[in-house]
Amino acid sequence: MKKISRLTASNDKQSAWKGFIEQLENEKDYIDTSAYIAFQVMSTMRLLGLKQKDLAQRLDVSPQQVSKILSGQENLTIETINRVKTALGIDIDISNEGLYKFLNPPVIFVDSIDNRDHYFTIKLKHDGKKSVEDHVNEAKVIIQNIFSEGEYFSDDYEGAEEIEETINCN
Amino acid sequence: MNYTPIFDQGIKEEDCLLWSIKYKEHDLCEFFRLIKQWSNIEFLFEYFESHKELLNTDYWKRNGIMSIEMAVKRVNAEIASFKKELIEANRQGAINDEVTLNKIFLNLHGNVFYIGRSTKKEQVKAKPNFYAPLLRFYGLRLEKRQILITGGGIKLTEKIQQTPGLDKEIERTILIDNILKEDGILFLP
Repeated sequence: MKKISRLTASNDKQSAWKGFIEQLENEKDYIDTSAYIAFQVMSTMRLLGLKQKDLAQRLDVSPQQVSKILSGQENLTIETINRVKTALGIDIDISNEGLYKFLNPPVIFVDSIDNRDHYFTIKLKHDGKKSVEDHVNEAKVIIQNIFSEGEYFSDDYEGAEEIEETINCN
Repeated sequence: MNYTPIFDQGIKEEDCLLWSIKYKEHDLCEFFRLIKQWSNIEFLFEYFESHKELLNTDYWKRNGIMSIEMAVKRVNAEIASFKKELIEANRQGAINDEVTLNKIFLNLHGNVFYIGRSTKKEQVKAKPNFYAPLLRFYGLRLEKRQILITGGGIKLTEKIQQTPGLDKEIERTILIDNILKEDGILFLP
């Protein structure tokens, strides 16, 4: 019987973990914000039907440079953020509140869908981290963006506060 | 293909609990490669855009994923949380610890592991943000304590075998399982 360590390449003894964890430690102060910015930029590009090369042209940089921005893994300078804002004609949110919402997407459990009328009934679960109003508003935006009609009920979610909200989507 | 020890800092290689396959076609082993890929916002948008028909199902609606944006947010939240867990465990000197390993790699069934959050209600209550995890690692349990990551992917369908690409991951894991047997490596079925 053999150990798996007997199968490793003998010349590959440098710790990959050391480099990896150092990178995670180094990027921890900006990585979430960079991902949040990339998310907003990608969402806008989808909305406007822009490709990576279009943004590269607007920024006058290489597609590779744009790819770094869109990866959400680069430590972006204020100057770069401002240039992207101007190129897309949007405001980029870097607030703590916005970042928190990005990292904690709303939890909505739906049991059934009913398309009989033009009202949504969302019965969602409040996880206690956000205000009830925030949960409901996020749910409204998501559902209004995606559906034109339907009725939604939550799954059972033991111990959580239930919120029921009806939205007129006409 | 070779085998890469992951939690290998300051310990003997044979004591390393997490291992990963490195395939010839990639620069990184599967563990690091998948984390990097899942952390890439542009990749996530493109991935979900190219499979958007698979997101538009009652299964995902029931789990609160009703748009590509929401799916990207969910994956980003999962991987961000996973990386924070790795940092914390490493700071505490508990990264190559059996308890940590079993906490961060939850065994769904067979050779499928997922990261971060259990779907068991009592555990969901404590950390409720991820009800239906989208990220999956595939791996094999070696001996009693070690895990060998063989691949992974983003779950797109209720039954994982229906997600394009993940069916091949399962086949590949079985193939590696057979290779390990031929090499005489101990494993748990």
